[in-house]
Amino acid sequence: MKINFKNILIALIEKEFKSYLRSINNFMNMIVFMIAIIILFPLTVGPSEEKLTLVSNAIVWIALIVSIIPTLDKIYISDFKNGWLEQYYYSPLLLEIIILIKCFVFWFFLIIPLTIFIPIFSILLNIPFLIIFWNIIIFAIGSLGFCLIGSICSSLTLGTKSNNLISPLLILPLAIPIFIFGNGVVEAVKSNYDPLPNLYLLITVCLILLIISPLISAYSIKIALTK
Amino acid sequence: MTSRLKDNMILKNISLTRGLKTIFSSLNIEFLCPGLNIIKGENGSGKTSLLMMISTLLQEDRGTIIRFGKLKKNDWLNEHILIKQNSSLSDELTIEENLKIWCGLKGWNFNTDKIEKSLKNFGILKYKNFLVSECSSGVKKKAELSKLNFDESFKLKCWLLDEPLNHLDENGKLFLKKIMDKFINMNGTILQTSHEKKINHKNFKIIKL
Repeated sequence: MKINFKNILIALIEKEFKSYLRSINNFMNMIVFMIAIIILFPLTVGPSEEKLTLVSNAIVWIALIVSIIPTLDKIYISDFKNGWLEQYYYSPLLLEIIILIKCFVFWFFLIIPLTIFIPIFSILLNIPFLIIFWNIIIFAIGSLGFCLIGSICSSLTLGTKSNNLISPLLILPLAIPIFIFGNGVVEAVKSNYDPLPNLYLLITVCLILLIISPLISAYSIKIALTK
Repeated sequence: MTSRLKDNMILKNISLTRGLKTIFSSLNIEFLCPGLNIIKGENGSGKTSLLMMISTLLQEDRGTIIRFGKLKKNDWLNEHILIKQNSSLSDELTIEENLKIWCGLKGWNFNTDKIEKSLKNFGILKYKNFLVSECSSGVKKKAELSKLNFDESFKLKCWLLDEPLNHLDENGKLFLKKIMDKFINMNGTILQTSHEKKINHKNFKIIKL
C-alpha cells in the first residue's frame, strides 16, 4: 500500500497545533505565573535600584524557567492516557522522528510566544536593551534544549503515578549546562567580552540533546506502552 | 500453495507474563486465515493481552508468532489495525478531526468526503463536529469502528478487534457485521474477542482461552 509521508507530517502538526489551541489555559497559566514572579520579586528585594539591577536578569530567567517546567512533564501524558501514543507507535514513520516533530511543535507554539514577554518584563525591571536582545536569543535557543530535556523526563515518568514530583527533579540537573552557558553569554556582554564562545557552547548542548533526546524518549515510550 | 503458506498466523508454544502474573504458558493456536477468529474466555483470561501480543505491543517471553509468513515488524505494523476496547480518540479534537489525523498518521489520504461517508454508514454523521469529550460511549465506539470502513482498511491483512460489540446498538452491530463479512470476502483475517453467545457469521473459528 502506498504510504504518503507528507500526510503523516501534516497530520502530526495539525493534531499538536489544535490540541494546544484548545488547551490555551496551559499557556495562560504560564504567563500568569511569570507575571506573579516578576511582580513579587522586586517587592521582596526592596526599593533600592542598585540591588534590583544586580538581580533583574536572574529574575526574568527564573520566571521563565519556573513557569515552563510544570508544562514540560505534560508533553506525552495526555497522548498516553487517550491512546494516541499507541497510534504513533503504529505509524509508518519512526517514533524517534515523531517525537522530534512533537518537541519542535511544542517549542514553536508554546515556548517561542513566551519570548514576546521577555522585552516587556525586562523593561519593567530596567534591563539594558543590549542585554534584552541577547536574552531573547539565548532563551529561544536554550528553550529548545529545555523541551528536549522535558521530552526525556516526561517519557521516563509516563508509567509512574506521581510524575509531578519526579519530573522537576530530573529536569533541573540536566538543564544546568543550559543555565551556565546562557548566563555566560549575558555575563560576557555585561563585561564587554565576546559572547559568541558561550553561545556556541549553548548551541552545542542543544544539538547534542537534539540527537540523544528522541532516542531515549522513544525507548522509554516503548517501555511504557508495552508494560 | 505458496500463497496459502504465506497466509497463516500461528502461535507456537507461547508464554507471556505481565508483572508477576503468568497469562499464558505454552499456548499453541492456529488461526483461520482468511476468516473470522472469535477468541472467547473469562474475564482476565488474557484475551486483550493476546491481541496486544500479536500486535507487538506486548513482547512474548518464549515461543514464536508467525504473522503471515514471517512478515517483518514494520511491514506488519502497516498491515493491521488494532481497535482496543477503550476509545483511542483525543478528547480535545472533534470526531472528524480525530479520524482525519488518524488517516494521516497511517500515511493514507485524508479527505473530508471519505470520513463523512464512513461516519454516515455508522449513522453518526451529525456528531462529526462534536468534541469527543461531549459524545456518549456508543458514539465514541462507532467513531472508533469507522476506522475500519475506509477503503485502505479493506486492503490490510488483519483486523484485531477487542470486544467491538460493546456499547453498540443493533444498527451498529449489523453494519459492523456487514463490513467484517466484506473484509473476509476480500481475503482478510479478523481476530475478535467477544462474550456474545450468538454469532451471525458463516465461517468462523472459536478459540477458547
